Amino acid sequence: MNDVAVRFVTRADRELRNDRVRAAVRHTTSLLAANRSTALDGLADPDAVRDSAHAIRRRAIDTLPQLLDRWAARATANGIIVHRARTAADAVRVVLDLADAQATAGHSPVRIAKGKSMASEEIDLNDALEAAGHEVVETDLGEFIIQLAREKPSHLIVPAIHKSRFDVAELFTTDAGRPIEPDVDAEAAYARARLREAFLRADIGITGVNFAIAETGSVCLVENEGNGRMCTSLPRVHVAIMGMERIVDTWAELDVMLALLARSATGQALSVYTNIISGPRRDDELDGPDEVHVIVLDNGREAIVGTEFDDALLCIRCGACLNVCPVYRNIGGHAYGTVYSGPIGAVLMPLLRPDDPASRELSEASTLCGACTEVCPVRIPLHDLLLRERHRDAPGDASRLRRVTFRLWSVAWAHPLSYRISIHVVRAILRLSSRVPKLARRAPGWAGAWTRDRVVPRVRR
Amino acid sequence: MTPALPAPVHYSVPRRGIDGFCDAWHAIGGTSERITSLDERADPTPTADLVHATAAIAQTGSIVIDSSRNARAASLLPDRCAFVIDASTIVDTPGDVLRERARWWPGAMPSQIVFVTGPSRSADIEMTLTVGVHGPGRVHAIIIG
Repeated sequence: MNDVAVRFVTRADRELRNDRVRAAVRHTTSLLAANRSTALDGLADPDAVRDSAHAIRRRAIDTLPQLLDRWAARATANGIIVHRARTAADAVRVVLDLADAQATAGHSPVRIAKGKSMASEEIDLNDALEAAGHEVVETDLGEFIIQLAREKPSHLIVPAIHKSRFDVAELFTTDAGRPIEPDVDAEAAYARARLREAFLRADIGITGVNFAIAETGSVCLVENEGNGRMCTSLPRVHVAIMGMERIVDTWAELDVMLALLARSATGQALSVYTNIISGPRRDDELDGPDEVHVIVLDNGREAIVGTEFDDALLCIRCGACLNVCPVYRNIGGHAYGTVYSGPIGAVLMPLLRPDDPASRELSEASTLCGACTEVCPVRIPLHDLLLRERHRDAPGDASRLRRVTFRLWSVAWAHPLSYRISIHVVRAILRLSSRVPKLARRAPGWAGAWTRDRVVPRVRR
Repeated sequence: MTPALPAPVHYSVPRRGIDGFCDAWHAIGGTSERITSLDERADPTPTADLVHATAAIAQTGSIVIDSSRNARAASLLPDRCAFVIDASTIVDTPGDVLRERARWWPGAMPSQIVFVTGPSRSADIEMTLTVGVHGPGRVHAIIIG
């Protein structure tokens, strides 16, 4: 376990030295956290809404198979083609087959416009599509920047959080073959023109799903830019990829979830475009895709249901926990080295990829301060889950000395007299180390392990 | 198992009716005008892209449109877009639409319903707000009644 742990620490250490990225991450996350807090005040009783949201999500996970069946039956009746994918490879296969069908129909190379989708990141979809010779363009502004930089998103909501407008200008200038000013409006205008062409030529639009709604067999997709609407409206084929847990039963439940999602994510009352899609274009409608496919992705989720960790599946991917996390705020998303970062990533990755040591070690990437749990709109006990994961992974071979030490400690602190004595001892040590600064920086013997990474704090008399 | 209906979401700001909607719509960057019939419009220029709203929501400044009444592209491809709202369809909260589905869509569901809440926007670069990224950057609400 140790050499793996070094890998995360090494990455974190590298990011800690990147002052520019740290400043950008801190700036953005501070704004988002403040916006969230203001936006929740727009609700008469935010805590009650959060309780309700928790109950809704909890029930969805508890009845997941029935709920998915009910949704799938309705969706199919609406003309949506439902695919169930057990693994990432299964999901990729479905998309590749759909792309091949377009190629066979004479649209070669197949052009794909993609909206923001973390599920697609999870299955490394772009690499697979490009390897098969298809053209994929990310159309969310942040994702487009990341694609040009050949990087991975580093925040759930703001994927290019680590890029400045100067970085963006450089990337866009290379892409355009002419100078693009480092001005946000100019950059957005370039992206609009460049991606408009991609939308109009696309054979397939791929998006994620925020919520499936069982009652009507619909999927709900929220976004601010309009690229999601483009991907779901203009190409002949729309393919949506959803994590199998992202489902609610009724529209009344959707109301509760929507009241929290945008507020927690960006501080908006609602995202600019909240799309509810219930099928392909109907005969009496003027436009829309001829085919709508929804891929229901398992990829490790079903195995979590029913375990002590399954509250992790309540997540609606708002990113609020990232914005308040002292670890995320200091090292950013890339240091985690996984698709999901921040507290939810630290909880989820070890569960989704239990056989991957790099994912497994992430439960260590937390101070257990609980800020994440405090802001979670669906009340996932995030820091508690992290602790439970650590318990699970802790080697059961603690030395006799360690076991005895902890036993004695717990006995000592359970009795007032011995507790008071221990406080006096600690105070004496602190007083001594304040007088002898050398001791505070390098304690002798086994205590040196403690001062290797820390300095004993100075105390006033 | 009989799932209890989740309680309605209440809002702390008492925005209601046409004024409430206009306040919220302006706050997120929209413009609006109020008329008694479409014929009396002073500036007929954007009428080519008039999009008919199914409903509008005062608390959030949202306009609900659907693909059975409008081409999807009409409210998506142009730089500016004008929505026509019948004042009698302005409700208080998103829940008044989401929880009363049968009132707004009594028959088969349209293939797409969109709650439009302001102009297309992005803050993906340095958290700097920019409008009109992909969808219309200027959105205008025409309220009849």
